[in-house]
Amino acid sequence: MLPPPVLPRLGPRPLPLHLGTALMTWASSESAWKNWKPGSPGSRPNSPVPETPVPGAPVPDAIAALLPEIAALEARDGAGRFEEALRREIARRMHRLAEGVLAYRQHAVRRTLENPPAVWSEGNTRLLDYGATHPAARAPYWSCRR
Amino acid sequence: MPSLINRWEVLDLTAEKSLLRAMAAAGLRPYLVDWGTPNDEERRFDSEAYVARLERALAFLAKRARRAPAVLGYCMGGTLTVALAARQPRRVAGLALLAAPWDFHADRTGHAFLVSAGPLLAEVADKVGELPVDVLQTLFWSLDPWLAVKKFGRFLGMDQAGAGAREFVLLEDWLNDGAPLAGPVARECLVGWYGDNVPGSGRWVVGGRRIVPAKINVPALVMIPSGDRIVPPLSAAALADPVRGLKNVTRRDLPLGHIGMVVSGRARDLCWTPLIDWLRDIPAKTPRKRH
Repeated sequence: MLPPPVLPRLGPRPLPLHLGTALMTWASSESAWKNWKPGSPGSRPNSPVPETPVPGAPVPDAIAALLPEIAALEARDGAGRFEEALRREIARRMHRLAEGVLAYRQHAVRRTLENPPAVWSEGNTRLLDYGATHPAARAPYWSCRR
Repeated sequence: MPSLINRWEVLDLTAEKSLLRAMAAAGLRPYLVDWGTPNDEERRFDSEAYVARLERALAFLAKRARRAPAVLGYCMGGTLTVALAARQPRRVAGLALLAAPWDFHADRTGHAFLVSAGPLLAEVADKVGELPVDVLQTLFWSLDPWLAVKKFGRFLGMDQAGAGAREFVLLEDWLNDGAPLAGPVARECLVGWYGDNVPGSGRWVVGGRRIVPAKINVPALVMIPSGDRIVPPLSAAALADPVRGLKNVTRRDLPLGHIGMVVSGRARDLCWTPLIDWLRDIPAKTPRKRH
């Protein structure tokens, strides 16, 4: 007899939503940096004519606190290095998510337990008797209460 | 009774990770409701139709076992089981509820998307005849949009041949193999339960009977996983409330999550064993003479 067909896995469902959530969040880090980095219109809230559609919101304190450190790193290693590193990290995280999903989808393990028999059904609802899985469950009721 | 949304296999995932097999090995005689996938007729079911079906299954079992069985409901299956016990008190010897939601307004953390999209999704369910699995999975996504990113990253770090990875895969298969929810019951859940808190406010009527936990006298056990992010612990705790809750109730709080309470490494000690002990101690409802 042929084994039952193995259906391809669909999880995590819905996949586009999970991938989209990650992509939108990580990609927004890159676009936010473009606005917050020194020299961009967004980094100067009082700039009269912002060149991007993003309103000239002030740089958040957490990012502002990092700017001197980033500037020192770029002074040593070259301009634009932080942006490159940010892009690499976004790609690394996307790859990691994709690899995790693929590892799950390609994993060899499947549930192989034999299901107990149905003793009642109505429409597509069934009542499965787990008494079939262990002799202790089939002992007379009163014998286990004595 | 498992939920109508996620199937029953989480209660019997592997030979070792199986609440049902543990119950059988302990000398109980468990029966499980497999709801299957709704057919054309079942796509028109509301909660009343599902409870009526449970009543017929219960009648069959009571006759087969020649005594009233205890009933056990997990998650949304627990909510339906409360109605079953209210409608068939003489056929129910005990009522055990695992992470069963009741007061849907007790804690609405993370429910903003569900509540705002609920009426629109109910329209979808009306038109399509069911709430499709991917829509249901989107509602789970809305409770924690980063969960997939976190857990698949963690999965990649596991030994792929080890027990942890094996369990991850089986659980993920179960999570993604849900059933669509019948249209009328989807509307009831989205608008009636999450939107208007019909059960928790004492307005749920099933087959002409208002379901009031405080009027249910059968011995009851309410197990509440304190780390539950799917059914807020406060929602389940309403069934154990001294005033509004079940009349004859024992409450047990477990330091586990919604799914962890049935399959985690600590489930046996913290959930299965006390549950089985409690079921064993329920007084028989239709005692027969001992030989």
